[in-house]
Amino acid sequence: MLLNVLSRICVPFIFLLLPLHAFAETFHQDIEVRVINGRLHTDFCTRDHGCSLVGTDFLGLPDGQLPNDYLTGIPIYVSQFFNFLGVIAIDSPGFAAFEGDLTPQEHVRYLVAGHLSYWGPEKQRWSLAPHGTQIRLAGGLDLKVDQSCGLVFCLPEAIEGFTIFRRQGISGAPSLIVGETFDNGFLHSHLDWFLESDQGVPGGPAGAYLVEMRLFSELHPIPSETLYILFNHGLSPADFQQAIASRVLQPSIDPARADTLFNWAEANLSNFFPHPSSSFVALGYYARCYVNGVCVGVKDDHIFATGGEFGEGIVEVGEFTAFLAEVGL
Amino acid sequence: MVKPVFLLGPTLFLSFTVFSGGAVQAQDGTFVQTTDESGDILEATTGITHEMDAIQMETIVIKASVLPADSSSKLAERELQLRAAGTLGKTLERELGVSNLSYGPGVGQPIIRGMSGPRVRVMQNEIGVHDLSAISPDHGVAAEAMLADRITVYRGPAILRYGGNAIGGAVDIKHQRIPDKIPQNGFAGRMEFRFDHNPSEKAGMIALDMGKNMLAIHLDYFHRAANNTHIPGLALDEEAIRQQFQVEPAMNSRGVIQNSDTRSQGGSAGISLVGDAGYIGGSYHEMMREYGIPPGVPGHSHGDNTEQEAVRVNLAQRRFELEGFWLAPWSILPTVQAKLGYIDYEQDDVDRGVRYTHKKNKVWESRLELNHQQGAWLDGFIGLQWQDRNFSATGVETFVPPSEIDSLGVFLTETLMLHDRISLEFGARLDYQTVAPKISEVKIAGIPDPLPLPERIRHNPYSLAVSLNYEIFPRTALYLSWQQAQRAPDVQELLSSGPHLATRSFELGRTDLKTEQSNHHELGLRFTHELASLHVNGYYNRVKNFIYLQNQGFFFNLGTTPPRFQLACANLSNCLPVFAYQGDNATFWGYEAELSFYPKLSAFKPHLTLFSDYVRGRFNDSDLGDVPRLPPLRFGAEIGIKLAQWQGALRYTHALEQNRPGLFETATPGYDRLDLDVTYDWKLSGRRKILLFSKASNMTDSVIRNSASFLRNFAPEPGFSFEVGFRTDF
Repeated sequence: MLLNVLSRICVPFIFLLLPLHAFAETFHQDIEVRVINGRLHTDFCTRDHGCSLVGTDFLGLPDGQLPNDYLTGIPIYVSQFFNFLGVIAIDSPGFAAFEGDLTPQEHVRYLVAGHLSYWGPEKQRWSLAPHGTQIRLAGGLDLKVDQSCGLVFCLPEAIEGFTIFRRQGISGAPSLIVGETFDNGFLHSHLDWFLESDQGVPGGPAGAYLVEMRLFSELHPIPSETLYILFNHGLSPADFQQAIASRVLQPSIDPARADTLFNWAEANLSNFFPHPSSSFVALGYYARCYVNGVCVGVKDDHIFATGGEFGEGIVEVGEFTAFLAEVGL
Repeated sequence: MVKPVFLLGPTLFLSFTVFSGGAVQAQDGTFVQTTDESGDILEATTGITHEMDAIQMETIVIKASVLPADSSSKLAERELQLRAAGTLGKTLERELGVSNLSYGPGVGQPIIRGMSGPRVRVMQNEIGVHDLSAISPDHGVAAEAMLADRITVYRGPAILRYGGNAIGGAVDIKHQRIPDKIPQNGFAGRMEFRFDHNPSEKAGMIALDMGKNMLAIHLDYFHRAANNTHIPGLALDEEAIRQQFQVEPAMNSRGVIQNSDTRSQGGSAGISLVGDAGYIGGSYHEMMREYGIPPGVPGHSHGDNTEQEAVRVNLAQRRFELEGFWLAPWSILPTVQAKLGYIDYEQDDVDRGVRYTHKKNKVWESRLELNHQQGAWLDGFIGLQWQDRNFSATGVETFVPPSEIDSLGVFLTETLMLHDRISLEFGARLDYQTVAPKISEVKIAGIPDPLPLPERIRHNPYSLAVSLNYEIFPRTALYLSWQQAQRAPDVQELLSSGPHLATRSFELGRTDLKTEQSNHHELGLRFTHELASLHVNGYYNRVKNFIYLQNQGFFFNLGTTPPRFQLACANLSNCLPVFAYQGDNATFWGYEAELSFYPKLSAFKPHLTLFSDYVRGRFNDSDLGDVPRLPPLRFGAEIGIKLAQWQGALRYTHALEQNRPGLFETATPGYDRLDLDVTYDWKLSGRRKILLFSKASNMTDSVIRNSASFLRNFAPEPGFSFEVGFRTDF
């Protein structure tokens, strides 16, 4: 009850607490969370009150079009890093559930996967983030009642409280708390994102950064569909719109060129790719799979493989464009 | 009741008696005069004067004291009337060793030798004020200086006699709410009005005392109203705020502290029966005060960049008090004094008209003191003090659970006259305190299960003291004292578990805190002469388990619903750093010094006073650094004259930069300030008199950032102000 009051006072102003210079092109979006078919489901805000969908006008998309990934249809929630007195960070987008949408006292968590994707103004295409650049996500901590230190509540001396997104993949905690619902199932939460070098120096190359996550809870353990969160960092409006367009209005990879590569691999690397196969889109990859358990996919201008000789994890094989040039395709 | 005279010294033979209770028994059996507690020579205004010739007076021995050199001081009469301000801290800020813990102009708690909050006990007639100022620096002290007859400041531990955790000192506001005398001619009164151009403050009071036969009645009323305080330059020191809080400042203002207007009013009614053997009476006092918190404090309000913040605090207090003083017929037990008070305090914190926290503090307190004497060589007190406090808070800022805090203390003080110029004072006190939360568990957002609270937390602090007062030469006294005083942790230090917006932190109490123990050593020297005077006190105070808030390296994010704990925050405006109470050893040392000259140069009766004070506090663990928010070294001079009914004084104060602000705090620059007081004593017929006064404060309009204030980077001290007023006694 008390926290409910606190939140109702605070939350409406969080958006307004952003630095003044951010108002010109602020993206403030809440990811609407609800339960559909016994599973958490995320979407753009469909209800007005208490759920924000601010900034889509600046994306350069046709009127009424929301940013969904062209290839996969995955929704892309847009945000923008700010300079908080030297710290490059943002606590947006938010996550919102309305009364009755979720179960009371439900701990909603995120589960991350994939790589840190990047669109840079030089190459003008989606790729993996530059080496040495990471996004650090501070999620809600998994805390348990502990009074052994004499305090009313003892905070842990060591705890994994960050999720790190890099081009190599995910490190740190793959899952942390997004928020806990109130007694009426209401939720409004924000996660804190930091752009920095892998040495912790704030900032990174100008560009658009994209991460992916899913949501789940103890009561609804099957993760939701994947969602993308895209951050602008220092791009001009035109470049940022281009980054959006190359993800929303066109596929971030060229399926025809990917098929060309897959066909070439099946013809020339039959020990890995033993037979012709059909392409499909899954988990953001344009991919093919084979009876020997190997799957190969293209994403963010890079080639990834898994299974068979490549092991259980998803392995980055090389840069897609460079490889095509190398084999003369 | 005034402090009994228990330092016996050279005898004087006068035609009236000074009782330890301070009352003079007139021939008709009524009490007509109070006396000073320290043995200072008092002006007699007895009702028997006119009948002196007709009355055969008994020659009585008066007990005076060795010239005291301890560090307590009193603010009374003209000085008090001049200094009386809207807050207690502001009223006392000129007192050496005392600073003003402001939270914007509306709040001023006294800091004594660097200690404040729960370590300083503020009393009215020796019963605690029992507001919530000890729990948070943004809570005002529920007392009005205009109604006071005298304010006594006890520097250093004052637990022995007054308890209440007064390990740093105590302030006692003496008033005549419960009359202890029948006024001459059956009627007396005081009236005051003052206007301060900055902040356009109008303040006034009236007090009436009536009496006939054995019945005495007291009535008083006061009212204050002030607009926003004007300042030189900008309210927010933006660079300091960025440095301290890592947030971008918002809502700065130039020339004025927004939302700093205040209003307060209150009144009292008291009645007593005054007779041969003492008096017994009761009083009712009620006051309300409303003040604003200066805007722009990160996390304190829920404001935004575009709408004017308006966090207001409304406090109200009702005091019911009974008091009795009995002149017992036994020489070994000459006086018995008893007091009982019930204080009902409530406070609303309001944001833009919406009440978000409601706090209550209901306290019973009583004390019983028995004076005992043995000949002329022993004088002492044995006493009992009991307190029953019920605290509760509902709403947003409920970082302390509702609790009942009970304490019982017994104390003994003795004064031995070892020689006609040497007195030895010693004493001991034992307390029993329990803190019992009224709920069995608390729920903190972000922690899945409720946190159990202890059923009861007990502490048994004890205090010991010994002091020597030695009149080494005529008019020159040396004071040497040692005290070991223990303070039981306060309820917020034990049980906090929530966001505390005033300190911009999430506070966690520590249920296993041990008592805080002060080992206080003090050396004082006082020299008094008609041409010069000197008063110097130096102290060294080792505090074991000094309780403070330690940063835990976590954040509590208020920007989510519900809030949660995390390791970092993108926008610190939304987050409170998590602090936990911790006890570590610390050492304080400092001095107060005042040297005055009264040259007989002309009819102007000039005087020159040089003064300085300093306190340094440091944790013994060097990683913890300095104790935060201590006042800087101050020194200055005052030149005054007195010509007939005119008096004036020009005072210059220089404060050094406070470059030891403590961890996570910012330094404050030094400053100079110039103040001028001019008064005119207009003596009318009989006892009727009028004091006309004017004060020009901070005449150079200096920017003063108070290093002791939590809001030093948000609200500087007031700029130039000119105040005029009058006080009449009739």
